[in-house]
Amino acid sequence: MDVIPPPLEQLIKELTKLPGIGKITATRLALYILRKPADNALSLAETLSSLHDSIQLCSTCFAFSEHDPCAICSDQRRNHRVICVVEGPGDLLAIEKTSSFHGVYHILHGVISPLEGIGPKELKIKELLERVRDTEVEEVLIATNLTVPGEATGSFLIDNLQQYPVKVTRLACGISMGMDIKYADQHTLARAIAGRQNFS
Amino acid sequence: METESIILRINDYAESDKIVTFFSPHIGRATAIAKGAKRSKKRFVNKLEPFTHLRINCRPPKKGSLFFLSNADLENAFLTLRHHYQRYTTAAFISELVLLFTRDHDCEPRLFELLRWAYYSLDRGRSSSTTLAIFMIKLLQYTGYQPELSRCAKCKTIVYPKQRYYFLPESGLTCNSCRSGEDTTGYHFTIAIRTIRLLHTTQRMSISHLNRLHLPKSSSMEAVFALSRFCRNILQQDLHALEQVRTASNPFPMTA
Repeated sequence: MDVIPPPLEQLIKELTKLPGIGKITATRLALYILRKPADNALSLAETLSSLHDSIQLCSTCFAFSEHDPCAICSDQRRNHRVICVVEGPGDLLAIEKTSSFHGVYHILHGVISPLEGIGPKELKIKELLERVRDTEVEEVLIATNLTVPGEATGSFLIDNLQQYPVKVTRLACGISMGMDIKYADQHTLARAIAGRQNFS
Repeated sequence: METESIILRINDYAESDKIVTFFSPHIGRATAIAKGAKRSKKRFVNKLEPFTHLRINCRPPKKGSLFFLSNADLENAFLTLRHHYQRYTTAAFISELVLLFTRDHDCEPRLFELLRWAYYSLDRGRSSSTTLAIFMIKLLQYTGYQPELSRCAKCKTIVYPKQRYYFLPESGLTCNSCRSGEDTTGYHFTIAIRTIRLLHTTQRMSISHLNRLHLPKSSSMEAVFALSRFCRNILQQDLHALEQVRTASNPFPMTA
C-alpha cells in the first residue's frame, strides 16, 4: 500500500529538484499546497506554466524580461556607452537599488568554474566581446563578485577586453561602511590601501 | 581538532551555510559544513574560498561523514591564482584531480605537501604546464598509480634513445615494437625521450627538491597531454577542468 498518494509523491519529487529544497522541505511545501484551497494551487500552476512563454532573455543584455529589448536597454535616458558586467540578474537588481549607476548592463549568467565544466563558452562572454566590438562603448565596468571564481572571470574579461579601445574598470574593493578597520581581514585592508582615493 | 587544510571545493548550502571540501595532512580529504559562513563577518570572511590554505578547527561527525567547521585562520590565500586566468584553470584542474584520486578520510600527508607546493608554485608565477606536469606525475605516485618510466611497460626493455616511445592511456610507456601489435586507430602519440627522462627524474625527487626541476615548455606540455589521457583512463571519466586548461590561452579564436 502506498503511504503517500502517487500525485502527492510526484509533486514532492518535482519540488526536490529546486535548489536548496530537500525531501523534508518538499514534503512540507507539498502538504501546505494541498491543505490550501484548490484555487491557490491552480493559480500557482498557471503562473509556473506561463513563465517560460512570458519571460525571455533580452537579446542585448541577457536580462530576464517580458519584452526584447528589456526596459533598461530600451531606456534612452540611460548611458548606453557604459556597460556594467554582472554575474546574474540578482546582481543587476542590487546595483539598480543603489540608483548610482546610469549605464546599461550585460549579464554573464554565471562565472567561469572549471570544476563544474563551465568555461567562457558556457557564459555570455562572446556576446559581450561582440557587443563591445560592434557598438560605441566607452567603458566596461566589471562587477563580478569578489570571490575566487568571480575575480577569475573578471580577470579573464579584462584580458580579453584589452584588444578593444575601451576603458575597463572594476568595482572598488575595501572596508564596508560602518566597519571598524581592526576587524577587517588583511587582504581587504590591503586592497583598500592600494585603491585609496586622492582628495588633495 | 585543529589542522592545516587546503580548500578544494566550496558549495553554497541553504540560506547562509557553506559546504567545504578540503584536504588536510591529518584527515585527508574531508567535507565540512560551515554554518552561517555566508553571513560571517569575522570567523570565515574571505577565507572559505577555493585554493586557500587555512588552519581550521573542526569537529568530527557524530554520524555520517560531514565535519562541523567552527573556525578558520588564513595561512595563504594564493591571491594571484584569481588574477591570472591560466593559473586559475590550472589550480582548478589540480583540485579536480585531488578530488577524483582520493577518498574521504584517506590520510596522505605527502599529497597535502604536494598540493601546497603546487599552489605556491603557481602563485609565485612558475609556468602552469611545468607545475601541472610535476604535480600529475607525483600525484600518480602517491595514489598508487605510478607509471613505469624506466622501461617499456610491455616488453620491459630499458628505455634507450634510438627507440620511439608512446605513452598509451591503458598501459603507459610503450616502445614502438610493442605498440605495433596494439590498436593503431591514430590517437596514440609519441613521447620524446627527454620528456620520459624528466618525468622519471621527477618521480624520484622529494617534494622539497621539486623547485630545482626545470622542464622545457615542449616537454611539460607533452607530459600534461600524455598524463591527462592516462588519468582519464584510470578514472574512466572526463576531467571537466582539462578543457578549460587546454583552451585557457585562447578560448575565442574568432574574436582574437
